[in-house]
Amino acid sequence: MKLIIMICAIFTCLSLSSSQTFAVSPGDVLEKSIIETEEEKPPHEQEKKPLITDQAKPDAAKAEEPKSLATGNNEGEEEGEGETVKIADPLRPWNNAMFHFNDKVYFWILKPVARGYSKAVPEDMRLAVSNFFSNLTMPIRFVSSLLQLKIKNAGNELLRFVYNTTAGVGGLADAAKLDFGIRQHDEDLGQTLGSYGIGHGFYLVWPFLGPSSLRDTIGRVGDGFLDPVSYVTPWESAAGIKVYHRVNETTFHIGDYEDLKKSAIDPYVSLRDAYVQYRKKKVEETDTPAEGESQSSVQPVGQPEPAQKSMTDIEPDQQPLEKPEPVKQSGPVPEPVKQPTEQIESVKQPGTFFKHAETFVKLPELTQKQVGQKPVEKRELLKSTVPDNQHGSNPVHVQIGVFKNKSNAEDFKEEYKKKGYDTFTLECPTKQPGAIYRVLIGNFRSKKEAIQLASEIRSNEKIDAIIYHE
Amino acid sequence: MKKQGIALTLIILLIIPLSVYAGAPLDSVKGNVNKVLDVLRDPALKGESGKKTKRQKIRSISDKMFDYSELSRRTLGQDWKKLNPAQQNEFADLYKSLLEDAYADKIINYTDEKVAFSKENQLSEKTFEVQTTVLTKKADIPIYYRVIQKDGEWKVYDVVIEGVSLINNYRNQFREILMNKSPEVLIDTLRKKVGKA
Repeated sequence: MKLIIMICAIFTCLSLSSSQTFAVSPGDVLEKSIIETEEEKPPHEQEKKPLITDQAKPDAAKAEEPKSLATGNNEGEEEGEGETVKIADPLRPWNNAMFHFNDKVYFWILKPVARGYSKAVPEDMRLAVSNFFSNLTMPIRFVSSLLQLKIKNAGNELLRFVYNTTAGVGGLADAAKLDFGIRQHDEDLGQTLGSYGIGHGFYLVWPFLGPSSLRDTIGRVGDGFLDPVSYVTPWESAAGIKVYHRVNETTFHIGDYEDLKKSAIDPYVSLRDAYVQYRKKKVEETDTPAEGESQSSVQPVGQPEPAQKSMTDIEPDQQPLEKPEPVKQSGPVPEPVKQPTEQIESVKQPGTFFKHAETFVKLPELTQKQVGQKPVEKRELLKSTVPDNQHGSNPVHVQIGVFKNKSNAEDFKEEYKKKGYDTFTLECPTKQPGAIYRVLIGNFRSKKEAIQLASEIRSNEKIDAIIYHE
Repeated sequence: MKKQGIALTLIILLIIPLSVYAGAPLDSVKGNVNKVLDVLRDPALKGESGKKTKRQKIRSISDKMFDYSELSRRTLGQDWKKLNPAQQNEFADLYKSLLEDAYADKIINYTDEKVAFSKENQLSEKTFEVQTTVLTKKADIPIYYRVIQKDGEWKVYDVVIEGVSLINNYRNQFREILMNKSPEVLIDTLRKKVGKA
C-alpha cells in the first residue's frame, strides 16, 4: 500500500512539473488544438450540403462565417449521426505503452484492492465516502461553472454544498438530490477550456490517471489547485487520500473496463474514442437543469431559455439570405438578420463562449434587415427539434418569412392563406427605427406539431420555415 | 344510431392497416426496454440455470428492436462501399454477434436498476433519438436510443451511452483496420473475435 502511495505521489509531482511547461505557452495550445471532426453520412444520405449565399453580406459577417459554418456542420446540424470525432495522436507509442501499463495496474493492483475493499465495506458506506469526496470537490465545479457563465449550475453547486454539508452530515449523504432533486453537474477546468473553443490538442495517456489530452491535463492541474485534498500536508497524506478516493470509486466500476475490452476490436482505439466522445458531450452540456431541478432558487440573469443539448444551434449568419420577389431592400448596407436568441433554441457549442457572452449581453437585439426565405438547401436549419415539455406556455408558431415592408408581408401572408395555411403577420420592433414583419402560422399547442408543419411546408412549398416563439 | 356510428368508426379504424402509424418512437423503445426488464426480473429465471433462457429471450427481443443492417451500414459509413454485398452480409452478421456477446452478459446482471424515459428528439425526417436514463444507486446514466422508421416500425440503429455513440466508437476501430488492410482482413478479425474463425 505504501508503495502505491509513493508511486502515485511521485507521479503527481511529475505531472505537475511537466504540465507547468505546457502551461507556459497558451498560444501554442490554441495552435495545436486540432481535433478534426469529420463529417460523413451513411451512403444513402449523401445529399445536399448546406448552401449559404454570400451575396448581400457585409465583409465582417463573411469573415466570421466559415468558422461558424464549420462548427454548425460538425456539431449537430447533420443530425448528430455519422459524425466521427477524431483526436490527434502523435504520441501514440507513449500512449500505447501507458495504456498497457494502466491495464496492468488495473488488473494487478487496483481491481484486487477494490474488490477486497468492497467486500469489507458495505455499499452504503462506500456511497457515503463517494458523496463526501464529491462534496469536497465542489470548488472545482463551482469555479468551472462560473467561468462558463453557467450561473444556474454554479448556484446549484453552492446550494448543494451548503445543504449537503449541513443536512447531509458533512457531505456523507447527497441530501440536496434526495430532498430537492438538485443534481450535481460535472464540471471541470478541462471542460471550461473546451467551452472556450480550445481543442484537445492531442491525446495523452497518463500512467495511473488514464486517458487525457493536452487540454484536459492542463485543466486537471488547475483542478488540483481547487481540490481541498491537495492542500493536505504532508503530501504523502494528500496522495494517500487521493488513492483511497480512487479505490473507493473503482468499486462502483468493476467490470466496466473489462466490458470495454471485451467488446472492442481494438481496446486502445475504443477507449480513446470513448474518451473524446464523452468529453465532447461534457463540453457541450449547457446550463440546462436536468428534469426535477427546476426548483432551484437561483435564476440565471438575462439568460435565454436554457437550451437543450440536443437542439441545433442556428447561427445568426446562417440565416438564408435569398429573398423572394416581394422583398425590397432599402438600406445600402445589408446586414445579416440576427434572430433573437430566444426564438431559436441555441445550443452551446464548444467555441461559443464569447458568442454566448454576447447573447448574454445583448439578447433581444434585432437588426433591421428583412429576410425572405426560400432556399431548399437550407433544410438543415430546422433540425432544431425541441422537447415538448420545454416550451412552457408561450405559443409556438411556424415562421415562413420576415419582411421589412409591411405590404410585402401582407402579400406573402395572403398568398399562403390562399394555399390553406392559417397565416398571420406579426409586427416586431427592432432597435433601429421601424419594425420587421414576420409571417407566421400559428398557434401550436406543442412544439412537435409546429415542427411537423414546418417540415411539411419546407418539402411542399420549397420555402424555408422555422419555429418561432413569442 | 349514435352507437352504430361509433361501432362503424371502430371497425373502420381496425381495418386501416396498422402499419400506417408506427407509434411514437418513445413508446416503441419503451415497449422493448420494458420487455427486456420483464425478462430480467422474471422470478422464474433466477440463478445460473435461468441465465441461458434469459439470454435467449433477450436476444429475440433485440432482434426485433435493432436494425442490424442499418447499424452496420452507419458504422462503416463511407467504408461500407468497400465491402462487396457478400462481405456486407457477413459483416452485419458478425457485428451483430459481437454486440450481442458483449452486451448480453452485462445486461443480464442488471436487476433492480430503474429506467426513466424522458423524451424523444427528432433528428431528421426519419430518425428520432429517445432519451432514457438508467437510475442506479451510484449515478444516473443517460442512454439514448437512436431509431429509424423501417416498414412501419421504429428500429434502433445506435445507442449513445453517456455521450458515447456505439457506432461512432466502432467506426474508428474499423476504420483503423480498413485504412491499410482489405475488408477481408476486417471480417477475419471479426470472425476471430466472435469465435467463428
